Amino acid sequence: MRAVSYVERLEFDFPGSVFKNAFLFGDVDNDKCEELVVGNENGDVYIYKGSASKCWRRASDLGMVTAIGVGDIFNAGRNSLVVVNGEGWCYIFDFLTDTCSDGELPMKPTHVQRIPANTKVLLLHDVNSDGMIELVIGLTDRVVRTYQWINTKLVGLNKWEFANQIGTVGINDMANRTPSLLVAHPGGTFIRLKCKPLENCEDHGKEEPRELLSKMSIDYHPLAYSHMRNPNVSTEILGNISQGISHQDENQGALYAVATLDGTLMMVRDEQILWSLQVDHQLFALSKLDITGDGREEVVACSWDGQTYIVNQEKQTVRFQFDQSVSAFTAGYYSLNSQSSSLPAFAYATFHNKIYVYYNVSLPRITLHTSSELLKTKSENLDENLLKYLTNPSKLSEIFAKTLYK
Amino acid sequence: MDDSITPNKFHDCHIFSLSSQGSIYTLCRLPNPNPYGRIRLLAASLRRPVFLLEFNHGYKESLVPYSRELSFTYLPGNAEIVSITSFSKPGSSNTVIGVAYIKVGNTETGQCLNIFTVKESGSDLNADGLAFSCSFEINFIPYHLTHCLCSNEVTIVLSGSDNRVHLFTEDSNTHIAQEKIASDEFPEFGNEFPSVVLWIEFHILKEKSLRLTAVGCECGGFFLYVVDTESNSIKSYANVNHGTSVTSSKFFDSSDSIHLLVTSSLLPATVYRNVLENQLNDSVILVGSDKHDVLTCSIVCDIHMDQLPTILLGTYGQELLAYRPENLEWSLAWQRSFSHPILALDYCDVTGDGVRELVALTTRGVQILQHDLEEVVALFLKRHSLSNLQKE
Repeated sequence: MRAVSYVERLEFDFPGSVFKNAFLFGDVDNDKCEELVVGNENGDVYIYKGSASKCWRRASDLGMVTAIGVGDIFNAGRNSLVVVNGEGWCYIFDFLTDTCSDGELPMKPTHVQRIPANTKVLLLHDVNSDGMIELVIGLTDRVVRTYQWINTKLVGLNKWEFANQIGTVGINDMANRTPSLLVAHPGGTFIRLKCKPLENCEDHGKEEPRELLSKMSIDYHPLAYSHMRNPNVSTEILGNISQGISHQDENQGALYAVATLDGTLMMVRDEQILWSLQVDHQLFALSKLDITGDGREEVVACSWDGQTYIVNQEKQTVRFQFDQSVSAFTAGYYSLNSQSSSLPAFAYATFHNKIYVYYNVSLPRITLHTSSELLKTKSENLDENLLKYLTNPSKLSEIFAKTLYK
Repeated sequence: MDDSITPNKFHDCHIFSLSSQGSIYTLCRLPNPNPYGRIRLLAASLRRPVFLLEFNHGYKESLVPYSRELSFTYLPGNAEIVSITSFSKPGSSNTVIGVAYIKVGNTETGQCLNIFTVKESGSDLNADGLAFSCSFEINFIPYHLTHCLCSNEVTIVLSGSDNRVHLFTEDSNTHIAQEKIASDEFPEFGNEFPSVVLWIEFHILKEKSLRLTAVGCECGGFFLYVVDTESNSIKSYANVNHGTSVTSSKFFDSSDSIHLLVTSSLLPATVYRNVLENQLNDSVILVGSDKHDVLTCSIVCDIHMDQLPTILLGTYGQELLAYRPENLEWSLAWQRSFSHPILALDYCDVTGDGVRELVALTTRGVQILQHDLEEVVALFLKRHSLSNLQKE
């Protein structure tokens, strides 16, 4: 397997331990530049912006921060920061009226609300396609809830209770472009929740109340995979992996990836496993990022010991070994300064009070190629002298060597 | 002139991880490329295995990195490899690999030089094709192991803790290695050096029947010999002291004269110009090359593809420094950070497409960096059409 080493990185001091869902890239202040948001179990939330090693904004005394989200929770066309702690408080920070000086004073939340305790995952997405962003939380109590901002507070919409522990909650578009929630369950299984009322019910559904829970469909998917070793192993799921415009098929659902702690990574579409990859590291975090810049997102899976796998949709893989144990991992875009564009980045939170951001992780391609293969793709512009050598690689490389090095 | 590529534009090709750290002596090329014309590398880590690193064909024409442990018999389990070298004898396709190691442990200790002859059976170099091997007990700690082609015979050259440089030959018929008397063919190694020799570099001028030998010592002593290979006598000799340990030296041709690059561990690297005429009297310092911890290794290559030499220096401070000639001086053109300290460098075509790759042995493994192919192909097409025009 090909391996790469990234060099360009930023190092941040961040005390305390980080939950894996309290660590993400996002544009909290709506300046089109992505920041890194991280929270610890002592109630501190730091926001890092640009290449400064000091945090840009911070908040404290937020309890045991277990999950963080950045999104348009107010449905006001701008992002806000949502912080949820294990004790059952939801804090929303709005950067619209942001006046505090650089990182000195702690931020004040614009909204604080009591929600059920024990949140472990958080998602901000329009899950019932009503055009409004919902807050989806998954609890360690095997419960998934959705909330929506209505007037002055978050109002609960749905609640599902499951028989098994929840790994992560992901969002995935189905074939008819309606979103569904994927709730990962142990052993590489998941449940698909369709929050939008079924199509055939829509005609007379107009008179019925929108919140009618019985109309919602729940499907359990065991994902029959023979190599699955342990039915109790924890599972990560990640939906809506962008296939790029050229590969999109309206009649099929979006791609999603499933990873288990025993080292299985699967690419799935419409409950069909497209491929699976077995690695000998414990995969605990799953992200997606367009590393090659071709419009198709790669799946990035990270293990506790820092081994990071970048897998494209053809199952071609590149490895990157981060040198330390990892408590949280995320992939996304990060802006070094407001002038330059955002760069694809990996962020690792370690167990030693440090955060590392590798801020330029793009690769020209996942597989290795040679100059002669690149020349073949340009064959329409070649003269006949070169064309006749295209089938003779050794002669071609001789010409290359002679021309380039004399 | 727009006839070169953007400097320092490389993409990570691959990193071959090594189980333990190597040294500045543990990266070498195999003399014969694989059937696809790709250069194969040998890299040894301290606690054994010697790895063969190469690229193979994978799915859909893509290249797949491939590393294989060369399991040599007669290499004991408690060996710590100090240095390796590899060559093929003139008129033979067999590959000879020399491994100098120290045996550590409580029972059996000592130092050995092993010489393995591997038959090139068609395409694949594998340990099964190991034809002959011999182990030679040496009574000094080995340092730099290299080889020199002299009067149609390859001599294995090994420096040792006894401040001497030892010469070995392997008899082609009996495959028994024996130590040669230095003064016969290599009069420059007849005497003891003031301290341990860390680096030996040869440059053969066939048409003039001259051999230039550069010897760098731990104390900073640096010796340059011009040897007449017909009469086996030293024509001229010069020495300087570099103050700190000489870590590497390289001869290179530029503007019809031979120059010599010398790196010393804590002081800036030096280029001696036109050493055939001026010996070590005309020197120029590479300013700033001492800023990144110990200078561990160096190569001189046409990495800009503009027919001008570029000096690449590897440092323990994880920086690669590139110096370019500018008028009569050398100035820092660019530098590149690595994830780990650099121990050895090479610039050779491991992908077999005619474009060379930058190879760096770091404390972590062997890192291969590829030029930006779009740019290289564009330069190639430009030069190719230009040369077609000239022909017409």
